[in-house]
Amino acid sequence: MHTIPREKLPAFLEYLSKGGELIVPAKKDGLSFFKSYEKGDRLYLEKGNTDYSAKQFFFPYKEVLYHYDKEGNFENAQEPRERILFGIRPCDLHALAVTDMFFSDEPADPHYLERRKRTTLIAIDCTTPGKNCFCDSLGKRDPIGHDLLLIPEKKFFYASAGSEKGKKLLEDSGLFEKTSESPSIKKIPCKKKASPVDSSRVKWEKWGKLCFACAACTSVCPTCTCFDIEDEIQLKGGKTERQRTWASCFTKDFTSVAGGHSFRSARPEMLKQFVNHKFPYFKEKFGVTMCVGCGRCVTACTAKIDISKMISGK
Amino acid sequence: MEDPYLPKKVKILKIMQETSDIKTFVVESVLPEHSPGQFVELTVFGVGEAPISISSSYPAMVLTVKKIGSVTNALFELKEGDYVGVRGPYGRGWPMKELKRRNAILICGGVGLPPLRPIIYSRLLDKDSGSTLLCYGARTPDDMAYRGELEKLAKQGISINTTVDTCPMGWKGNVGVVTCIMDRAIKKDENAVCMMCGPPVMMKFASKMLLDKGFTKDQIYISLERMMKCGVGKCGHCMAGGKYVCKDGPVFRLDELEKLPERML
Ligand SMILES: Cc1cc2nc3c(=O)[nH]c(=O)nc-3n(C[C@H](O)[C@H](O)[C@H](O)COP(=O)(O)OP(=O)(O)OC[C@H]3O[C@@H](n4cnc5c(N)ncnc54)[C@H](O)[C@@H]3O)c2cc1C
Ligand code: SF4
Ligand code: SF4
Ligand code: FES
Repeated sequence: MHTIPREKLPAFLEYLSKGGELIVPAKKDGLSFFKSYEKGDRLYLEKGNTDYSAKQFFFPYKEVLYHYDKEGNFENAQEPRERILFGIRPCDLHALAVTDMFFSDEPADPHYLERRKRTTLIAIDCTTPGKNCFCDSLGKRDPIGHDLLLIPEKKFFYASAGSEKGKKLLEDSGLFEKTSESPSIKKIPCKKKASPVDSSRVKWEKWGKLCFACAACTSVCPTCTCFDIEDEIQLKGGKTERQRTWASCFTKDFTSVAGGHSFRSARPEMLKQFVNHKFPYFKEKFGVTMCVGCGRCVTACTAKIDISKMISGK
Repeated sequence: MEDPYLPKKVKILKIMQETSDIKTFVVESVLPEHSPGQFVELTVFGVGEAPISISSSYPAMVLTVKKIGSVTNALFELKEGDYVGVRGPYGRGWPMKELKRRNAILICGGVGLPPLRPIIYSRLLDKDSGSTLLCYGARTPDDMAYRGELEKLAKQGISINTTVDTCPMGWKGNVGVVTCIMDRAIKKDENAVCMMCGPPVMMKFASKMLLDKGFTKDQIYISLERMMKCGVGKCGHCMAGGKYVCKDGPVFRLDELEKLPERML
């Protein structure tokens, strides 16, 4: 175990920003999100989760997969770069573990994996959950897959490396000190609890009737990864961009085929797909639930649909 | 790492007009070996991609396409010698192993014939195969793809039964939905495998009729159509009851489908 005093945090951020693009949690106009670090940024740490997850840095809202010319010669459009993601919470580490499993499953997705491989994860342990969190009910409270973990104490942070990359940061930055002590801080349990019941016992009609199918939940969810692939001709240069953009199972077009028939158009059916994908479907294939209990979909829902209650059969 | 979304450029070798809105395209064959019932993602450059069944046996790469929207309309503008993109082959096709030495009953409507066509040819090559019977329904006689070819196949011992929904003067064949000809042409057969592809309503009624005739659910295979963007189990559009139709299907056995927690047809 190592420690770093709180006042040395800016120096650590400066140090990190030399290794690539540094991404940090911040808050603006009442919303918290991850952004590219600028000197003087006030970080949003130790106060529950960010409203938006870091998903967009691995699976952007819109990305260009390729450019191609009129003759159909394709060129990769990815410009891989080194990134350091600072301040990611344990639930979002679990979310990355989920999307890693999904995108590594054959055939693997090189666009996601390349970004993932080039990102160093510096996590901060979560002591104070947000109002809609229920990660501990799903066993997603303990950090996994980080390179470095910071554990907050009153005057300093404990730091523990989770990988060789993390060990190197501890040694090379010159800002950390070795200690034989261990963290004392108490983690406050999540206020919300969930105990998932069999899908057949979930009240689809009750909750489905409330749903506006606005797709806010799928866009804030750190583990939703559905997408469209569309071509867009560029006005200049005669090239076409093949773009990938987020899609949502809460839109009718999501399942429509020739003739306009949509396989899932009723809201309870859409909600059922969302929840069943997060729980039984994903679990059967990958052994873990896709939902990490981050509570973002609950916060985002204007119809007050609460997934923690819904999956518990309430 | 191989990029599953990256198409390969291939030349269109031959184009045949089947009906006013269906064309068959023979393209260069550069993809790995495919089996009957699999599909490719076809790119028309500058427009986009669409999933299309491979209507030929390996190594030929033949695509029969109905003009319906942006990609297929643009495809119809192309000429022999032009290029398109393909990636695949994708999906789990028809149960070819199971079909050995058994009778094949093929049922289709509209552009449901292309994915079944390679089954017919593999049976002509295989002397040990059982009988092959096709029931094919189209809107009108002019909407029937492969008409000339079907006549030839009839002479080669394939039992061909066609019908149209509505007909102009001069059509001497059957009129009515595909289930009408099924009723006459198909008898209970424990040694048969039934395979169907077409509009969901047609498949719903056709499978009900087969069950009424005494076929069991494990004798019936259905190729599902779903919105598909990636073809490789990633984009999520084709997901149905926890299965990815593009990867776990598009062909499913009826009893498998009925176990899934979502309406499939
Ligand atoms: C596994 C599979 C095999 C198929 N095989 C054939 C075939 O052999 N021959 C053939 O003519 N057609 C086939 N289709 C249907 C074909 O993919 C669609 O008709 C085609 O995508 C329409 O594309 P478009 O751009 O011309 O139409 P669009 O302009 O995109 O839309 C026209 C209509 O098609 C629907 N549609 C759009 N994209 C898709 C999509 N990706 N998948 C399904 N429906 C869509 C839309 O909802 C709309 O109602 C197959 C579909 C699947 C899923
Ligand atoms: S479903 Fe809701 S609670 Fe679960 S991971 Fe997604 S946003 Fe978080
Ligand atoms: S199917 Fe729905 S719930 Fe599942 S990843 Fe896609 S958008 Fe999210
Ligand atoms: S077509 Fe993308 S997941 Fe099946």
